[in-house]
Amino acid sequence: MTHRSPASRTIRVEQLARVEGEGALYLEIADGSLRDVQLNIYEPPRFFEAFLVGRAHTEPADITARICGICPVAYQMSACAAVEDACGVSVEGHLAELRRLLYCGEWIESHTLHVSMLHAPDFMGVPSAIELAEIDRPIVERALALKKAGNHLVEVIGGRAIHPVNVKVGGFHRLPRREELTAVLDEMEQARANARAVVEWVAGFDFPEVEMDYRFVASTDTGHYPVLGAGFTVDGNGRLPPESFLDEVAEYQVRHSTALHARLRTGDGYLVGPLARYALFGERLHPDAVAAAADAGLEPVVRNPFRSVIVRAVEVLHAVCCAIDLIESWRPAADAAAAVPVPPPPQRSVGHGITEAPRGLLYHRYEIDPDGAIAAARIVAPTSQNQSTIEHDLWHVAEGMLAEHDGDDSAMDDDSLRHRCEVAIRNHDPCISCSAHFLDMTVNRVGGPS
Amino acid sequence: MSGPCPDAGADAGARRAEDVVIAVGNRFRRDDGVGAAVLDALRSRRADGHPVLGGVDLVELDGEATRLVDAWQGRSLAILVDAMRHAELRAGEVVELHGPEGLARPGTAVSSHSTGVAEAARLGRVLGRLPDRVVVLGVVCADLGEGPGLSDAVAAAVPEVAARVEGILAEVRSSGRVPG
Repeated sequence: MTHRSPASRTIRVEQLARVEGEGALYLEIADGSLRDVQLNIYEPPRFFEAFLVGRAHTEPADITARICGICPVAYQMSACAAVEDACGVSVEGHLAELRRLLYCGEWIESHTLHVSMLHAPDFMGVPSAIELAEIDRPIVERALALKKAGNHLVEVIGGRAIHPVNVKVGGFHRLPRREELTAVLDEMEQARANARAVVEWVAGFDFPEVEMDYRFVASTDTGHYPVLGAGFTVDGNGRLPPESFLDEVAEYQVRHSTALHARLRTGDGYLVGPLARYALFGERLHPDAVAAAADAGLEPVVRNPFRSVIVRAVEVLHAVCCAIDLIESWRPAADAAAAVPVPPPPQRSVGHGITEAPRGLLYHRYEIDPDGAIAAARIVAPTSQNQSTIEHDLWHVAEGMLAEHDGDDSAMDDDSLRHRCEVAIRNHDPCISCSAHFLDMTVNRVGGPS
Repeated sequence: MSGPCPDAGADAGARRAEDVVIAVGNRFRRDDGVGAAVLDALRSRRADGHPVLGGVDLVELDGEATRLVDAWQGRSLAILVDAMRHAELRAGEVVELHGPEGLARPGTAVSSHSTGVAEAARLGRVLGRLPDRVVVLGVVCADLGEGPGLSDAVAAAVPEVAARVEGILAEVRSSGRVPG
């Protein structure tokens, strides 16, 4: 609904389609110039960090998985890494490979959902994937097959597609038999072809010309495109250990949002996720993904957030190819253990875990007592880290559109402004708090032409 | 733990059955778990030897549209059990919808977390992935708060809904028509 008055103009978007999270957008324009942009997150706090206190050290993997239904594996992996760190245990070899394979499944399904079902409609000029299917059914069929392949992989290893039940600290409750993994190879080969086709498809979209000066933060994963973290890096300036994460990053509260914002100790906002990973470690992508990125015309560092859809599609191809390689090479010994023991530490200890959720770096920190009880918990999710950067993108987008109208915003199509802002948010695949919700956009014009 | 990896999404079976009963909802959001409770009742009945439940897949889903389409495609009959709100009915009352035509509602899907049966029906229709017959049993709910356990009124409806599921299966198999 749009109404116009001499002093102010309000645009209200009751529902923002195709994002995950609850928020409102406020724009204040004075005399044709943008004065303020706020992304108001009013999702109520969920208190996971609070109710983890007192739980056993074996429980965070299962409990934190419930933070997200799209990326539960990420929470499980970061939780396990942090608990194992506190307990002085390292999970390596076939168990680390299996964790990496499980993560491939999640990247495939999460990224595919966003690329093809949530983000692509923006570039195809349709409101949702259903209308997309009406104009090009094979595209949606392909996306569903890809998503199903990812879900299936998670199900085979994790025991369940949503909130896997087979993950535990130290490894898994049960190792899959080799034939259970090889049974998905045919599906994965088809997924490889589908993923290549998706890269080619999204590379052909029309993108606004935007260039952002991001600070990039990503996990470091020795020898790998980052998934499981051995540390992290800021702009590629060396590897920093997980225990220094909270020295480098500060979370802070803003009045207009229940989601914490984050900044580097320099005061700058920063970006985690596909653009960061690709910028810092693109050369480590699977060769097929490197080739696809080149064919798609991707520059080595992508600073146009609208082109994130291509990077995400390349990461799907990377995950599929890695999954195939891992399945073909995974041959644990006949008596291989499903998990290593993780006894509580002899004294209160702190552990840090960093892995790469589909949306970016996910950090967990736990203090664990000798009886195994969690004494303190801290979780820093990728979307909360990106909030201030998303807001900055929105500012840039809105200013750009105002500039197109030479400051005469009364001539601006507010529907176009609203849509461009929504796409700017969807560029970063936010999972604001993993629940269903709405975006209200309020534009307050102060002064200006009547 | 031995055997195949545990799968709470579907009863393990060598083949995909012609008929499926799908519980839509979340066991940890009070009455939103009514579908799962009905499935539990059906599993008990099957273990007791109720013949009509043989060869039926019992699937528990969160309601996400693509997973619903995946679960029901190629089926002869899909029965969905879901919690619902209704302004005029009391908690525990059951609404029966026959689809796919009866499932659609106007409007475009919003976030991926609020897609559900209606969006799945629309998507399934567009993709040609609808079962031959769809029946939705909607149980009017009272409490969608956090935590496990059904409200008294909804819990009392579970046996009736389970019996109705069996009745639908029996009628379809004998006459080829959904009753009602």
